[in-house]
Amino acid sequence: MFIWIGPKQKSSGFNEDIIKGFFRISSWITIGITFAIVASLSYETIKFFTLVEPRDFFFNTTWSPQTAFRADSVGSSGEFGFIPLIWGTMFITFLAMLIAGPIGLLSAIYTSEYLKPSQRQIVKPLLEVLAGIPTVVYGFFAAIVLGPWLRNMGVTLGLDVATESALAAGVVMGMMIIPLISSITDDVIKAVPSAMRDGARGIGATREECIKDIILPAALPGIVAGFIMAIARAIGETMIVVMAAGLAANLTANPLEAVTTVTVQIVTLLIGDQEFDSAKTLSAFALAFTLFVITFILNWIAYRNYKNAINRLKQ
Amino acid sequence: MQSIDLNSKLEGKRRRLQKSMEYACKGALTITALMMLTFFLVLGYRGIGAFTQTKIDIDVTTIESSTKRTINSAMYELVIGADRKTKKDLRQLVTPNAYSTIDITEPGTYTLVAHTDVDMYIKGVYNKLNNTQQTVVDMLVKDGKIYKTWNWDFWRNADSRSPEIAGIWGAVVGTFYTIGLAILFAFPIGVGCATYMEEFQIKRRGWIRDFMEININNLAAVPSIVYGLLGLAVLINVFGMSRSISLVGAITLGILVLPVIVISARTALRTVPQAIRDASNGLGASRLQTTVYQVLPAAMPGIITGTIIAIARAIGESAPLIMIGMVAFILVAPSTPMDPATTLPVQIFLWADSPERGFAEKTSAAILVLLVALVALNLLAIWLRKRFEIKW
Repeated sequence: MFIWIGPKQKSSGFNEDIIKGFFRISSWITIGITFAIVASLSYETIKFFTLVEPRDFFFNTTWSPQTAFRADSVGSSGEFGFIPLIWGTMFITFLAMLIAGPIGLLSAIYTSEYLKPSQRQIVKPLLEVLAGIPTVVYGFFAAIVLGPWLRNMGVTLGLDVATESALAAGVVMGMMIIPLISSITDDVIKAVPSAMRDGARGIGATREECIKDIILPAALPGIVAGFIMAIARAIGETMIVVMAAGLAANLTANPLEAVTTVTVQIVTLLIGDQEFDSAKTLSAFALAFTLFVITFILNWIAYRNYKNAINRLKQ
Repeated sequence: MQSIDLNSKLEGKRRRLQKSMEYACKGALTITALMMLTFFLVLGYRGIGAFTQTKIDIDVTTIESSTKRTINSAMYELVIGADRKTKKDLRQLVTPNAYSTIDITEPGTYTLVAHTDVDMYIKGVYNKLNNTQQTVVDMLVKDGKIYKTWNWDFWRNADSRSPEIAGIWGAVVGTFYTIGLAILFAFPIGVGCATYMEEFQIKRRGWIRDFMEININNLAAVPSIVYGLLGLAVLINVFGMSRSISLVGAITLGILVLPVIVISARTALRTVPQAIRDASNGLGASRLQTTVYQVLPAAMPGIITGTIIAIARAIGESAPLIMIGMVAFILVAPSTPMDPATTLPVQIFLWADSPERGFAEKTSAAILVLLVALVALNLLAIWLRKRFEIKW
């Protein structure tokens, strides 16, 4: 692409315009993608809301999207209550954060505060590699290994554990999120100026006091931002829950029972052939749009906090 | 005034707190490590078997009208005077696939792939053989007629209904087409976008710049499944492209990794010192010449590293591909990007969902292959970063 620009080329002219134009168009493509996402999702969502009342979607507590073959049979229209799905999503996310939050935070403190630089150089890339493990692998682990294992444990303990329990999906999702949280937290803690650290140690604080009273409060906004990013990631996570969470929409707070999530329902509704005029197919787009809006808001908050936190620490 | 003894050791509560903090942090990292170790060990333990395959040597003495009949009659000869039921049992020891893949024209010894039940019995995973079959298999093992070999079929075959001959080659080819095209599409646009944002947007503030900034960071965090719906709604419904083909998958994944490439390319461009630009400009180069001859080459190691990480991300992605129908049952490896295809993670998803127990081992093995590829890519990225990193 750059071959026909050489030192002999005039600096301003046709070629420059083309290449500059290419750079400019590329940057507008990224904005175009966002518009395409919003436009396509909202178009189908609006079509969906002509078939189903928005009120029913957002406040109904029953989710059973199957439409009957005969129009006059019972429940022919299907019920599109969003509440049980978002509840399932939140519940699994909560379980995941319960595991990933403390473990991720403490590992990040360890890698940033206790490890020698030489050890850190080994551990950090390893965590990066872990963050790159495909989610389908975690999903397989949850569905084939952890799910049956938990159920057998339940049988020995006399508990009734569903094979597709929320617990299995939550634990494995927690495993997936640990590297994410620890990597962001580690970056934030490393951004805390060493003057603060040295000052605290200089006046006789122990390492623990220094971390607890000086570093963590300073890094807190950034850590919170990292946690919000992790939550957004968990909400949008698909493969783990598709493979390990259930299909039936339950409003339950028992981690041993099966719950379903927004992403599971999107996949279930759209896998195989679809007609694009049925409420069933369109509801997947409404779900995806809701998911998009939720993650957008969470990420926006997190990103602003993170940037502010890092900037403030660097001053 | 209290005097401070510099040699005194920490005592009591403070010491305990300090120690417990350190142990808690160390424990957390150990738990992470142990979890991951269990994870890999379980996958390795479950998957290692798929790299070997059980074969049966049969002695063909009579040639019948079809290969199927020939193989069957050779199997019947293993038991003298086999009745109907025994014959059925014997038939089921070889893969049904052999009837159509092997051509037997003259008597001699032929090597066939054993049925998945035999395979699993030999490997000790589970035993679904009945008594007759088990006796025959034990006898053949003793004679050295049933043995395990390296499983080439796993590497060179596409998916199949019979687990014993199912392989990953079809998925691997699909992955190459999909990811290759995705990067071909995302790399120039991503680098172009990053270059524009870093080098050509002169105003450091302004709503367009802020908007682009927020936009890119948000795109990077959009759940991948949303990109799948975008592909479904726009590429398939609006542009009428066919489902399941690599090209649609490539565009979808290209859009998905675009923000990743843009962000890493911008970071790389930002590390190039301003002095380089000033010097180039001072020698009379235009802004574009400065960018193309000085800034981009200097930033290239970082950009390439970021792109490799983006490739790794794209290779592992499956949710958007499921949305655009790349979950088809692919019996033959695709030969062009316009053929229906599947990728390795989707193949893993399909096998994990399969009720046939013989696929469980294949799933773990495919995961091992995927993980080795991804770890290799990540290590390559780390090595490149170390090797070509320019300290300004």
